Amino acid sequence: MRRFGKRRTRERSSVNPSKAEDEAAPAVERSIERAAIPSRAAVEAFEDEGECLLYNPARDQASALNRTATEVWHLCDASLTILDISEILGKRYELIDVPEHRSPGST
Amino acid sequence: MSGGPHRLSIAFNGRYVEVQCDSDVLAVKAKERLRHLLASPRQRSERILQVALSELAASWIELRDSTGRVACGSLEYVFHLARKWITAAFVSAHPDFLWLHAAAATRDHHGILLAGPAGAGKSTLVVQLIEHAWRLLADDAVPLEMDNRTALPLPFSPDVRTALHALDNDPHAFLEQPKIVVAVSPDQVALSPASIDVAVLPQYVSSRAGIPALERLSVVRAVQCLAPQCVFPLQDRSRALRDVFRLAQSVPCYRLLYGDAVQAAAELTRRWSPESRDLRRSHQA
Repeated sequence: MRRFGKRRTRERSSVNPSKAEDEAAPAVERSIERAAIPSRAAVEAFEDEGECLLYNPARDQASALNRTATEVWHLCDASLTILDISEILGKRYELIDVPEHRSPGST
Repeated sequence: MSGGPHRLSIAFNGRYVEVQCDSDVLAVKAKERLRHLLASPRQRSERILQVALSELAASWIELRDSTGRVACGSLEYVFHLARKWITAAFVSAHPDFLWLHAAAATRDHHGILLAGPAGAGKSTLVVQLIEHAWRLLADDAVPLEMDNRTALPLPFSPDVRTALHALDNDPHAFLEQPKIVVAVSPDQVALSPASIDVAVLPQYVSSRAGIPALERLSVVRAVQCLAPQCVFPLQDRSRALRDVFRLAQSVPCYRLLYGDAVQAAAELTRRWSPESRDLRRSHQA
């Protein structure tokens, strides 16, 4: 399973970001994260009532996913970017302020 | 030291472990703990392990087995270890079962499984269930046949810690304290398999006085709690996880928060004894 960096929300904030925050999260890095295409590792998945238990035999690790995490897991199909996934979930749950898609490198 | 060597056969599902005791005292103590698993020569088929107990000095016992393992210690310690070795031998001889670190009790062929880590109170609760007319099916390790969701009898005499309240102060010290063997009469022991109707994961909460709380667990949450209790030296973990998942899907699983084992056993009996189930059914009808 891929690990992703910390969630960064400042980039599309209308509030003036501080210099320190800009240094901590450069714009290019943020865009790459958002454009990353997560895929599922070779794990065994056990699902019931929207929840899921994943077992990675290679690492002998198990992870339990709640309903939201299971939805995200299903969307990690090696074709959708992180931004796509956030947009799909945003629309599914009728959340306002769904971010527009940005190409990598844009600020 | 006198007499001996005494030879006892401890049988499970056609396999047996031979326990040799070099003194009368050791033989009596061994029978006390293993009495419900003692096999007659007719019941024995394949010997899978030999365990020997020797009294080196007063309260200093040596334990050896046919694989070359050796340990020494107090009577309580070596019997605890011997039981672990015997159980492990049965687990290895029957990898087709799902083995859980648990206790089980049965009433009219309906079983209740108590699973959880050391110190959760499995043995204490199973002893209290026996007081409520349940029969001892297994203690410490429960072999489950997954095709028909039945637990097979493996009734080691339960041994319990006496001071649950010590958990408040030092859980490690609590786990280290010696256990006391509880005598269970043969008519309080189940000799045939029982279908498991419910799995309970007890958790002792010192502050919880009065009626215990039962919280239904989702299947995934139940697997999370049950999977660490799997005993599978030869079985691959994927298979064990699949079996636990099947079990959690087919059997309702509950977290039991309790502060008083007597009340907890009463509540479990009220909820899951065959009579109360029949009563509920008739009310619903």
